[in-house]
Amino acid sequence: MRHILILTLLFLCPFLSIADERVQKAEEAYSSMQYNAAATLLSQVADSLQQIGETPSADIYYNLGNAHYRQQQYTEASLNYLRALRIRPGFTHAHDNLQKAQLHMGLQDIESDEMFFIQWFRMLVNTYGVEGWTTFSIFFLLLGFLALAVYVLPQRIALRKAGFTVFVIALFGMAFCIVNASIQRYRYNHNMQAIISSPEVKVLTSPSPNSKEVITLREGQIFTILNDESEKNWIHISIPGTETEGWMTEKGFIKVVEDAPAQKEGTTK
Amino acid sequence: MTKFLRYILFTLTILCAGFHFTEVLAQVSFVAQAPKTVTTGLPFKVKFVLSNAEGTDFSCPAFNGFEKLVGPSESHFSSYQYINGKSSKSSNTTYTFVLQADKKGTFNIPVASIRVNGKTLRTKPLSINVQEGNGKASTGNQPQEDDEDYYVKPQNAGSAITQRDLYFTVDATKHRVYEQEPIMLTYNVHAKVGVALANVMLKQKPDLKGFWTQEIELPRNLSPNTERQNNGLYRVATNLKYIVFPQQTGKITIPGISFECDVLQRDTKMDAIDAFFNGGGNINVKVLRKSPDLNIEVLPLPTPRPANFSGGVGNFKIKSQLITPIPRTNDVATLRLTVSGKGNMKLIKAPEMPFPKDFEHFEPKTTDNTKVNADGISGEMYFDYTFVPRNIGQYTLKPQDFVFFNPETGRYVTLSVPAIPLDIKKGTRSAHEGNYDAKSREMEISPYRHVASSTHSNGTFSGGMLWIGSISNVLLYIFIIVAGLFVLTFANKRASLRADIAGWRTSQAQKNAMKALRTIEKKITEGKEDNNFYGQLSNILRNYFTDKLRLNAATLTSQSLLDALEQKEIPNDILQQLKTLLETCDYARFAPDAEKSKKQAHLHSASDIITRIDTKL
Repeated sequence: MRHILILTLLFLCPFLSIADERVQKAEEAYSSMQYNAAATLLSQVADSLQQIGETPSADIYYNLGNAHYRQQQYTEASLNYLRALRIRPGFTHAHDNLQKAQLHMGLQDIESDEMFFIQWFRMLVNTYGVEGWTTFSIFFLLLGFLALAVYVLPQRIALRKAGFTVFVIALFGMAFCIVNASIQRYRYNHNMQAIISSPEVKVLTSPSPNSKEVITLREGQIFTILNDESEKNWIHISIPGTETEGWMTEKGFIKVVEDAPAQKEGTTK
Repeated sequence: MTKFLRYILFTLTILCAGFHFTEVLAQVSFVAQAPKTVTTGLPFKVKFVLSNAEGTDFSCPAFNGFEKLVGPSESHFSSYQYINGKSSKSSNTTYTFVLQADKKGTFNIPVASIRVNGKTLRTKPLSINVQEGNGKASTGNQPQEDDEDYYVKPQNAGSAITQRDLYFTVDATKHRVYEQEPIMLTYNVHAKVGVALANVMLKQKPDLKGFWTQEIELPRNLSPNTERQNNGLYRVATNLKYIVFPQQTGKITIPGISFECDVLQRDTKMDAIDAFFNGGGNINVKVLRKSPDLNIEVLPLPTPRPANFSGGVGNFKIKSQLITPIPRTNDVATLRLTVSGKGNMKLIKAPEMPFPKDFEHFEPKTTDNTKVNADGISGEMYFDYTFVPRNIGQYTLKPQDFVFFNPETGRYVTLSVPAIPLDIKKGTRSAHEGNYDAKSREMEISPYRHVASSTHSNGTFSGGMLWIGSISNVLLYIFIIVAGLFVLTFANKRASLRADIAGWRTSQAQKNAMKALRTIEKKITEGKEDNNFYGQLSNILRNYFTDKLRLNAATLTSQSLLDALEQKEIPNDILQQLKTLLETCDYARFAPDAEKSKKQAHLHSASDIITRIDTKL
């Protein structure tokens, strides 16, 4: 019993954080409306963390997004909100602000025509990230043991019945949470979102410059890179919520997850 | 080839229909039809109808006292009837004129003539009484009883469509306006009767430099009016309507707009049968037309302009409203100024609002609730002033006077907004909170977050315990499961032991005995022991053995205990030791021995015996 207590305490403990005075300074700069300074500081923090192989927290990216938003740099703002959402999918503030930034650029959410329960499930899965779902699964595991104990130990019949029911529910709950956590892990590791960063990018029907145009994407448009590396210097993309697919050349956009040797794009702007 | 086939088909149809009946020829007649009385200024129809014959050389009479608007237009009608083996055929050829009387009086419709089979047929003369119209007709109301289609009847192919047959005009409501005063531009198409206008397309969006433009939606399928112009009858339809607000002063020319028109013409070269199969034998002619340029004089607003001129030109009203009923300190409150009326609403600047010094305030937010209609822009503009009072007290807000220019009177109008009393009550929020709230509401994004930790709790590389599938995560699950099962088995064993009381006591015997021994030892070392030391010691030993060996406490003697132990194959030396100890206890009860070291030795001996026996049992 004592072991379990210690374990739960362990989870409740805040994790070790790397203190960085630049974070403090950025907050001060932001509150005194020096958004440019705040953005520079925050992107420095994010870069230095990435260089030592750490993942910056969602808050850093979110605040960086806000700093860009206040400077009317809606593309950069959107990009950073996307990065925050990648780390913490259920980040409602980031989600709301992303929509506002997109609205500012005249881009609106496309209503997806999926069945309502698929949408509902998608929303549910996105309420928490990997850690959230894993924590829940551990909670269900512990609950399952507790219920099993109630069931196994000699008790009144009604209590034993309840214990068994809770045990079954806890098993299902744990399985559900583990599935969701795995989905979120996949999303985190295989995030193929990107955002258009140049004023206009043409999307063509096939990977050749002479082919017909499918659509012209404007700055700030979010799209998904499909896993198709058959053509060099071309990427196969799709626009979320629609069935539009096409090819575009490998420039004029920024990926939400940068490729392994980090290209510095945000800092130069 | 196909043409030939069609001929055969057509002829066959006719032949089949006509083989088996005797034709009854109806009487041939030629009559004139006209209304008996007409009014001046209104178009009316005169028809000459030739029945049951084919005519040639129709001679058109001159209409004295009338003006010929349209005519002659020819139409044919024929029908076959077949009843009880008898067929009858009737056919009509009608020559229609549209006339209009200009003067009062009685006029004659002259005789018309036509040749049928070599004979000349004449109509009887008619007289028409012309009455005075009521004036309004001169602008051309649509002739009521007329069926529209002969107006649209296409002219023959190749006939020229002149500038007089089809043209565009532009009407402006005003030609001399003040800056910012709206003008309505109406583009009309005029098509002379006989020009079958099928479609009008805007070639190019008008280039209205120096104007702020708003297009007015026109209802679809706008039915054209018939008007008399330039001695002819025209169909007039509105194509485009713009409302424009001049932004520059001086003489401005609005360039004409190009339209592309489709006109239907009848292809006379095509014969009737071909036409029947080819959709009426009409051909489409594209005609380009441009509306005339329009000159507009824009007057500058009179100078000097008042200092706090809002930029509004039109006629407006203003009112104020405190949206937050009870403003509280450090809480966001909103004051709304509503400008309503007609004019260049969208270009009005928000009036300035002098807030007291200890009020935090923000840029006013403008909400547009206006509509564009034929009269210009009308509706309401809302200016919402957000502020955060800092202190309790009575204040008054006096918004700046609202000054606009009324182009109808040519004067500036000043409207003053009555002062708004504010009674600021104590709020519950701290100064910081209110400020933050107002700012975020103004910018409408969720606020900055304090960064608790600059790194994400479990990075991908570290693969923390909560990162599903990582090694430490799997280990965590395994640990929980193993620990859980362990705890569960342990608890289960305990529970079943507890369920069986004798077993429980057996298992607890050594623990209880040791505990009792320690209590006594403690008392001895502290020098507080009572006289009954040996009684207690012997009791502890007896209790231990009754529990451990499940013996009956009432019948237990030293000898029966030793016998029972012997049966359990306890080594002799232990039994000997126990026997000595029990005997010592029995003696000591009657001859107390106060020596401390001896008592302690006995205690050690007792615990030694219990430990050794417990391992053997």
